[in-house]
Amino acid sequence: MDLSLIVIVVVVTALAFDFTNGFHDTANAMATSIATGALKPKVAVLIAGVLNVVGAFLSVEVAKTISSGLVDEAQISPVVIFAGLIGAILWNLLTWLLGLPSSSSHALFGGLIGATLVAAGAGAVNFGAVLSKVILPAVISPVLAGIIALVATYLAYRTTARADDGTVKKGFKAGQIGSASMVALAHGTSDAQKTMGIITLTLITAGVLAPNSGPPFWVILASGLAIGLGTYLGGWRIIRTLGKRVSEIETPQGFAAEASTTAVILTSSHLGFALSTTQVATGSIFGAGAGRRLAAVRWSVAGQMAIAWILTLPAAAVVGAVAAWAASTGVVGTVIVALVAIAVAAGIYAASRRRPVTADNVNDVGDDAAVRHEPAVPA
Amino acid sequence: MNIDWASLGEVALVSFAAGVVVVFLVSLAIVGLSARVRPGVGGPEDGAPTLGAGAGTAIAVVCLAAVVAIVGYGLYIIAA
Repeated sequence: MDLSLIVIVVVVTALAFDFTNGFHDTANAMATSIATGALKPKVAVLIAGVLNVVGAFLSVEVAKTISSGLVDEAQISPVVIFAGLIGAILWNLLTWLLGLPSSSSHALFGGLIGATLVAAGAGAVNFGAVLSKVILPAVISPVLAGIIALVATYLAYRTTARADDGTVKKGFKAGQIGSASMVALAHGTSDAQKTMGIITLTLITAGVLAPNSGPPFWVILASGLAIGLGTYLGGWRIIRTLGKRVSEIETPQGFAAEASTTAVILTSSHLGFALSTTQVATGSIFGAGAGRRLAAVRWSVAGQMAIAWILTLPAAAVVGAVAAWAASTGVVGTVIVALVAIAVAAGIYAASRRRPVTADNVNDVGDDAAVRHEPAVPA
Repeated sequence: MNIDWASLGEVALVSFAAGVVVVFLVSLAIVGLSARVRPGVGGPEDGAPTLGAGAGTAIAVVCLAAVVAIVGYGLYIIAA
């Protein structure tokens, strides 16, 4: 009885993480389309949400990577996974508050690895799989996406240089609707699978499923819906960062960036690499910015992001480790971890309301959101 | 430690080819379509061959069909 209660708690927490993953990552699919005006903000998030759900049903390769191989499922309990999820959720919320497009996936892996280290020791973490299936793709994928977007952007501008201006704008705008939809689909495929993997892992550790099982249908459906809902609610803060603060994005660049993102994510999730949608999309946007004119990219924003990226895995690991340590003291400890996490999440939400970024003001940048909210100097 | 370089290389090659080719084809389609608005892009002055409205439309249709085929085949491989 006790066992099934903790399993339910973990499944709910995993879906909560999936939800934060959705609204953290709306930007990946829709930032450039919203910035170029190819799609109205509300329409963009609706399309992205629906396609997330569809994408969740495309593939389960990444879910398998997570549920079999990263950590030794024989040595951990659902409580450990719960602690890992808490680490991931809190880091996701904090970076969202700051408008930083950090990787939800790395937050998840970090939380899980940290919690496993504390609860079961270093032997339970398969560092070889972590390196080859997570870290290495994480380093390669944004650079790869950036190079593809750079070449594609350059080609797009060269090819259409003498074409009719109006047709070029309209053509790439239409193209962006298609390419942004594909990114949303790819995001559903890649990221919803991470939650599926976690829930499947939980069911395996609880003995409900046999080791090496794939995710059951209800898990796929619930994960798809949770991430779709999160995406629909929209992470406007991160959309503003990616759409407006990295570089002024024109429609050909938006199209090239989204095509590159889709290509990289879909091919790698097909081969089971659990890479970060966020990092790929960000790499593409930088590449597309540089493909038109190197100086058009705000490299200082890139610096901020790079720091958040490097910190994500270890920071989530620390939170996950602390949560695992507290939760390992028993039921009371687990309840305390849950309460503290809910309190911190509520606090972050309250802080975000002080300077809200919504569908209506997502494209107003002057250059920092903070600047506009300072009281006007009396004349 | 076993790093799967072959799969990583496959991801790099396939995604590079797919991403660049799709964007290039869409750009070509747009060049074709713009011949409908402003027939005779190019012309004797700049040395490029002239493109009529009909030929432009045909190019656009072929290019976009190729894009749909590439994307559709990719999704088919993943879902199947």
